Amino acid sequence: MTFREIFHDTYPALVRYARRMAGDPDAAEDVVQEAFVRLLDGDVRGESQRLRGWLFTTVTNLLRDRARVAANRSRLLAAQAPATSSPPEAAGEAERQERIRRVREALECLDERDRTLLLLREEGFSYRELAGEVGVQPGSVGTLLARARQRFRDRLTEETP
Amino acid sequence: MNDRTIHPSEGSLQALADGELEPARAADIQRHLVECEDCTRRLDQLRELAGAVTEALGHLDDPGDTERWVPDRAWDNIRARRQDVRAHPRPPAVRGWRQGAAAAVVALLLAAGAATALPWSPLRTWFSGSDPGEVLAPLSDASPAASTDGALARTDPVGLTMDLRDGEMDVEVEALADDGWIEVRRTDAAGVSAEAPAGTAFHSAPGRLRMVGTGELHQGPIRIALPRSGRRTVLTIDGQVAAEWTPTELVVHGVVAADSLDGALRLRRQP
Ligand SMILES: [Zn+2]
Repeated sequence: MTFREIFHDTYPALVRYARRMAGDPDAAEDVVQEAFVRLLDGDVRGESQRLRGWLFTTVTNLLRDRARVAANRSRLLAAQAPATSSPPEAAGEAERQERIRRVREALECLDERDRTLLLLREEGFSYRELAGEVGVQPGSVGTLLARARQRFRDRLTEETP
Repeated sequence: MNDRTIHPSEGSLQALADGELEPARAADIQRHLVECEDCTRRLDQLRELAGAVTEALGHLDDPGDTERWVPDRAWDNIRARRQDVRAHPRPPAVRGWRQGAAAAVVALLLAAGAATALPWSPLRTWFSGSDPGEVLAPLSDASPAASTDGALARTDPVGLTMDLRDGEMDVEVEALADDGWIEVRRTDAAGVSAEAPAGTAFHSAPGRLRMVGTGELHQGPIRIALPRSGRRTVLTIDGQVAAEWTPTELVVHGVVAADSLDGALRLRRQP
């Protein structure tokens, strides 16, 4: 297996994950590419056992760093920027945006650990890998996942008119 | 069901739904489910819940993503970013570093003082430094025990192979343990191969290889194979030039003690 094949196998899943985590497609791709740059440069830091795990961990960490920076920036901007009105959208598009907003909100009501568990499970991580990723016992992953899913869905349905 | 029946926990039912239970435990629960409507219902709910979550999360994926995710374009981006990094290297902070086409070329920098606390990396990968498309053996899944036991991964070496640039090569090694050593061999291969204990970070580009590790994680030697075809090679230890190779000459400088070991040149810090 060449590096390129590994790349083709993992890139879409990584971008999907990063995008779900961050909500910003450009940031998602940027962060995933950064992770691959680090991998290729051998600037390998992290505790995951496998290449895939390492990549997901790196992406998670990069997103976290970025969120911290973005939070500071948006605090500054909020103080000065006038509210921008969004351009008129087609009805279908508005509906889609609303759905996305609701899902995002439900996701954001989870704490970071639960969000990471939920999203990495969607990418096929085993309980064992998940446990390593968020630092819990493998035996408690089922319980944490069940609760996280329940909370996510409760929040989502509570929003539905 | 009598009152003394022990119902599986929600976590166990979730694990069963996710196919994550050991077979024996799964069989136990299956037997229980045959007799317990409550748990069967709960299991169904968990399955339904998981499906609903997956579906909801799918809304976050832009249907246009498949067009955005052109792996080839992303690949080009990644390569461009790496080029960019190389074009703006950090200034070398180590004495004895020489750069440029005419200058020397394999530098093994053992700067113990420069160690930072790198978490060990259990990645056991062999990358080609010159072309990421040519990994020799991307990663070893051969030791599943490593996933629970960091100590195993710690001792597994990491390595990479990289092409020379104009027949020359820069290799830096930083932060070798006091009792660490380097073994250098000449081979007929076209590129330089290096292997170091896990915990070593590799930074590579054609003609340049830098290895950074931390003392406490370095167990065993750094092994380097140099191509005989190389025009020039310089080894620097602790920021000082330790050895230089040309096709006809090997010069070992006073900062290291050198001896031979099974056909390899073994270099240690001069006590
Ligand atoms: Zn029951």
